[in-house]
Amino acid sequence: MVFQLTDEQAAVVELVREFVTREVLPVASRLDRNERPEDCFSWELVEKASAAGLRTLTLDEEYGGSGVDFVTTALAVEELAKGDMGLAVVFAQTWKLAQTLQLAGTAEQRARYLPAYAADPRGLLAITFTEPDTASDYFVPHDGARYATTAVEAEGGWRLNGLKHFISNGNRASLYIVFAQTDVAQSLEHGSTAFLVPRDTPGLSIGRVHDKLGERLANNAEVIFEDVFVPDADVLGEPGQGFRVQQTFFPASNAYAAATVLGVAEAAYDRALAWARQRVQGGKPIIQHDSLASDLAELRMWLDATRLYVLHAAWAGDHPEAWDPMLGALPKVLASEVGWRVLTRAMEVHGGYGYMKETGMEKLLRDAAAFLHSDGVNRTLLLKAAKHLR
Amino acid sequence: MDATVFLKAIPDPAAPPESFAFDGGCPDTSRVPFVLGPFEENALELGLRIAEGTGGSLRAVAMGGPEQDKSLRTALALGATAAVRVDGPPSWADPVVAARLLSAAADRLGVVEVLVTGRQAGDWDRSVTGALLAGVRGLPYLPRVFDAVAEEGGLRIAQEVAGGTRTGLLATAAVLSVTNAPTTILRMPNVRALILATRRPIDVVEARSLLGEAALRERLVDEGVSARRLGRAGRRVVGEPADVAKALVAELEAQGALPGARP
Repeated sequence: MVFQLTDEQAAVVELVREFVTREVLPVASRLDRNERPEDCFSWELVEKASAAGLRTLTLDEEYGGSGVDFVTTALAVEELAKGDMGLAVVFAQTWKLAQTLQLAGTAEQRARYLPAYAADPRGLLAITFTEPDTASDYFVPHDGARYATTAVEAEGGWRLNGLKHFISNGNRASLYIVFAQTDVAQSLEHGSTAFLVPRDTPGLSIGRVHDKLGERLANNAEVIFEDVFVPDADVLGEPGQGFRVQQTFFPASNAYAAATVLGVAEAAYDRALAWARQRVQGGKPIIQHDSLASDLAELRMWLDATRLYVLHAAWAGDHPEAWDPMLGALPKVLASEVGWRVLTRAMEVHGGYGYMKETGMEKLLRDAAAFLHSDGVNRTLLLKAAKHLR
Repeated sequence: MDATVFLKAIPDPAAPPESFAFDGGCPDTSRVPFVLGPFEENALELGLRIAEGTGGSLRAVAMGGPEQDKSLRTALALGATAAVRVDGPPSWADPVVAARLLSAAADRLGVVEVLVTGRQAGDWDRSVTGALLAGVRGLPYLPRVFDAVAEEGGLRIAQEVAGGTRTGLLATAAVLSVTNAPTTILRMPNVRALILATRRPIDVVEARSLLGEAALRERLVDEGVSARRLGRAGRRVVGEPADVAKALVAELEAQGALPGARP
């Protein structure tokens, strides 16, 4: 067992770190403070990431991307999140869905959509599961669970109607993967279908852009489908097999979510450590006080252990023979719980300064809070994992 | 116009102190990440601009162990066509010997018209390699260059000089020593190019194969000589630049601090 990055992985991590230093950190706090959620998002950052090849990090080399694996993607998400969680979400979604399209899409779908995605410097992707009344239901489906969004067969395709909400990149994506109920007599586990829907499809519109506590550089929005026609050629997977698509082709989704909050927690830890080394109270730097130093050591322990778990999950995604379905649920739970613990304690290390906006700890705290529920409420994910124990 | 840039990775200045180990001699940097020196970043950017502006190519040279390879790969990712690393020179290599090694390595990469160095290395800040390289090759030396634009007949060079800047047309081979300025901020590589660069070979050449063992061990410049032998703080030389240069050379010769001279 080798716990060492390859040269390629190290190069990607360093490049993302440089991008964060040069482009993200100088603007993240300012963008975060904008009142309107739409103003927190930055196309300029997306275009700069495109120029650096980051937007297409997971796109196969044959389409002009870098085609990195799940582990490298998780590392990139983590590093980007050290700069800003919202931006990490913008790209984690896009990177994940590009991988999904490559895994689940037909050759014809890949040829039709991936070159256009590669060529558009603003090309972002979104996935639409969540509805106002359907959320945990698609993580732990039951017989009565249905998507309220429906797709009804029409000549040559399907007609979609419904509303999705809380959708990351919902108002920014140029292509969506949409999950809809195609057989209302069945639960969503057996009666849903996944569709590819371009942004400019007639009948697709954007509703509210949600105003969030944190993770503000990413927009989450309502996506509305009113009699949206989707040709048969844009069914992703097989009709009625939407849940299978969800289960099969997103192996590292949970690891990416975990890496996102882990990056924020690591940023908080780094700041707390630096603060403890320079802040003098009791006649010495506060890190020289045993209780505080041991506190920081404990945080480091939690972060290191979480990081190994997250990378193990991503690695297992790259090695299907090693895959354990619980890895599709638990890493995010651990990372978000650890992240919250690290954030609150890192803030305490700063004393009163931590509560003031000037140190930036409050932004990190607001950001970290997002993943106590995002990508699945933790208790729901534990239930999802528990199913594999029975 | 073909150019060669000389790169040096240095221990990361941002590395925390506990990364360094000290045993009474040189610091042990084996646990310290290495990064491209700040003025070498400037040199690489200017080298790229020269190659792009003139339709020429850029090659990269470094000296040291594998810790130098990352910087060479950055150069490859940004458009350098070849990279060579001189392996195995003594860590205490004489600056003139180092310049000779770098010059020989540049020759391995083909004929070059412009040699580009950073203003000074970020670790020792000695600022000698560019000038010595020019001396070794018998080329003009242009210090503190911050811009180079291709135009009819050569390169329009912009330099920092005392009290301001000056520009001039360079129509011959030369060594440019590059300083930091908005025009020399190193661009970011594309991640795909960087990944591909990690798969490209770097030409590693043994120092002794370039100069021979005996030449490698020559000590031509004793930088400690003045302080020890003078027995005084030093001497301030003032006057016209040409006169100052002559006086300094005379002083260094008297101290035995120049190649071939012994007191």
